[in-house]
Amino acid sequence: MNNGQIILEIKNLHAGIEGKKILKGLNLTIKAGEVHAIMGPNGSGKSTLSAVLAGKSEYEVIEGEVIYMGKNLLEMAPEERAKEGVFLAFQYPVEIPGVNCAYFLKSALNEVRKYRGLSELDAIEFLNLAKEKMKLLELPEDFLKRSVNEGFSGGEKKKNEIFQMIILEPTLAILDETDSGLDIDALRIVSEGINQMRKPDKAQLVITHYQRLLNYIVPDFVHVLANGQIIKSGGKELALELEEHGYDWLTNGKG
Amino acid sequence: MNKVLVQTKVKDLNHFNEHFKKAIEPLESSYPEWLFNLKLRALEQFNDIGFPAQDDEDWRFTNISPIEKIHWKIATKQSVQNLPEDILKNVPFLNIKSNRLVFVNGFYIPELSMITEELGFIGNLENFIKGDSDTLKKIYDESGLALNDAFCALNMALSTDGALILIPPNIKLSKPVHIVHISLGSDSSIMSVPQHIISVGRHSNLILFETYSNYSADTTFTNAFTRIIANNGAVVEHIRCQTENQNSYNIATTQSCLGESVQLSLFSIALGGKISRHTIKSRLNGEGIESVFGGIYMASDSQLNDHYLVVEHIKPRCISYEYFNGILSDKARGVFNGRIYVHPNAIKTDAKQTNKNLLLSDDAVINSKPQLEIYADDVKCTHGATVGRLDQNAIFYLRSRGININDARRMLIWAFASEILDHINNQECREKLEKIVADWLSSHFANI
Ligand SMILES: Nc1ncnc2c1ncn2[C@@H]1O[C@H](COP(=O)(O)OP(=O)(O)O)[C@@H](O)[C@H]1O
Ligand SMILES: [Mg+2]
Repeated sequence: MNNGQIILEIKNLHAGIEGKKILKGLNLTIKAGEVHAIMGPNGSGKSTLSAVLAGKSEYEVIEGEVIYMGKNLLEMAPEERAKEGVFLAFQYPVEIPGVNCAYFLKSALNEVRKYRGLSELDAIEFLNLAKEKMKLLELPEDFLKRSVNEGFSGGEKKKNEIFQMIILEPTLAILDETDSGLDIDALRIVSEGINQMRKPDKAQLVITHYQRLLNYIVPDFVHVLANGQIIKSGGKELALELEEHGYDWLTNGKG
Repeated sequence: MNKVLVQTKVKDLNHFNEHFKKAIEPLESSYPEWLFNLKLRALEQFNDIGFPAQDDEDWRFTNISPIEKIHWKIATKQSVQNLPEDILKNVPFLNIKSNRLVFVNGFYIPELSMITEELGFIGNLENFIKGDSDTLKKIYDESGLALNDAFCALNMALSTDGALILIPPNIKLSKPVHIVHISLGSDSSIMSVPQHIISVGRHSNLILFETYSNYSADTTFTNAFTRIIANNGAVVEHIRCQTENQNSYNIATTQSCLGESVQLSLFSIALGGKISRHTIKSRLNGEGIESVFGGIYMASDSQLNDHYLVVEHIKPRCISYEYFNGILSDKARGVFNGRIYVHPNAIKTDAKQTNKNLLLSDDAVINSKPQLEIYADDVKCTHGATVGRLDQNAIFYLRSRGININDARRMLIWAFASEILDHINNQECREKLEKIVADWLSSHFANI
């Protein structure tokens, strides 16, 4: 894949939940090697967008299309999207009592590898890989034995999302408010993890409420989402302007 | 209206009674008088109370009329002549090294049994009855036999064989003891009535497996009665696993009477049977007992699975923890009754009960009834029951990482079941059970 090839193309996306329209004609194109940031006030539909891209069935697509690597993303089951290389780091990662991180992640990785025509990893190979990446994220020794997200601190949950991303090596990573609830050390560690995945053949969509994260992950493009639409796009300096003037600066101007 | 009902009931019972009486009568010449009289009394008792009806609070959710309607034939020794070569094919835990006692239709099969333990007695009841009847009487007395349950009374009246395990004090067996029960059907509907008695001496250690399975898909009825006496300081882990076929009926009672400082872990894994009920009654009759009661029931199609648990705290400073998880799909019904009874003397009791249920279909039903009856001060007792469905958010989370929907569901159900299995100390047995549960999940829930 070459730098510049289109990875994701969202065209006139209208989507909602429980009869409520949330996205109202969203357009976005992401190419290989790019990092895009979406910023927007609370309730503007950022998580709705990520849920629609990941395939959460409660969300209803009313109009528009989403093309991922030349394929109709909206037709794929969530697991198929994952195997095709779409990854969502959840804003609120789910606790799964009784399923330990090692078993969960090894199963996921092997599903993804099988799909990509790679050999499955055995327990030892997986453990070696996992341990190496855990060090990077400064995750505790017993991490793999713990139930997925159960009893994790806010920071650990977010680190776990990034840990999974690094192991699964997605083509398109969507990071939904990965910075929220992180202290400054955790933010640095998590950002390093995300930056490590910045590669010419991959793309990242970083969703955030605050500009803070973008000091660590420098985006190529910044989009402002308000009222279910992207109302302004620009370079990384747009984030700073937003920080200075607040969202009202744009929303008021528009409305 | 009521009168007519009562009359029909008595008439039906008469049919049983005649048949049952005929089965008992020939025993008179070979049995010790006390035991023969006990059998007659038990039959009378059964005749008095009859099969439980649904107005009986203890059986409210478990309608056993399908069992009543069938004209069961009490299994005879002839039914276990010329056993098929692969008679053990469906028996769980078979490749865990153990002292193995095999029963088919309630009768001991020495050729299939393997006892390497030389201390104490590990064998069957039938021969013992004719031999050391005094020892047996003492154990019967110690076990605090209660016949107020119809099925226990019927078992007591009719059973002539079962396991007898007598472990002297201060012994740690090198291997578990495995009581294997296999129901083998025939043209007529066969009822088996195994009765097992286990007495563990002071400070001795016993791991006991008790398994119930069928050889084929025939309809059978197993009415089992197990009594455990654990003397002061004994350590007992008892794992009962019922995997009978879905045409069968399995009604069983496990009574245990525990002495001072006993450590008991009792697990009931119930996957089989059209109707199955396991009554567990435990008397914590010494200070400082630590007991755990765990169970998993999994039912699909139109299976009915009932656990009825009564734990009596009689002496101070005892612990009892109860964990029962149920998984129900299709039109299956689960019933859980858990009663913790704390007698006035039992101060500093620590009792905790949880019953969690996972419903996998709209038609599956659970009736859960936890009960605490506390007559002592200064106790710590909690209980709780939950009913839920698979967490859709968790399923989505797993799928979003590439795990297929069915694997995601199985993973969550598996996690729910392994919560209970994690409490089992015996590693080999726990691993076997993990496999049994996983296999059951993949055969029953391939497409949930
Ligand atoms: N399950 C739901 N049912 C109804 N409304 C919802 C649901 N989830 C989100 N919403 C609404 O949709 C809007 C967008 O939410 P969301 O996408 O989470 O915003 P953001 O992530 O930008 O804060 C909000 O007004 C929110 O209240
Ligand atoms: Mg959000």
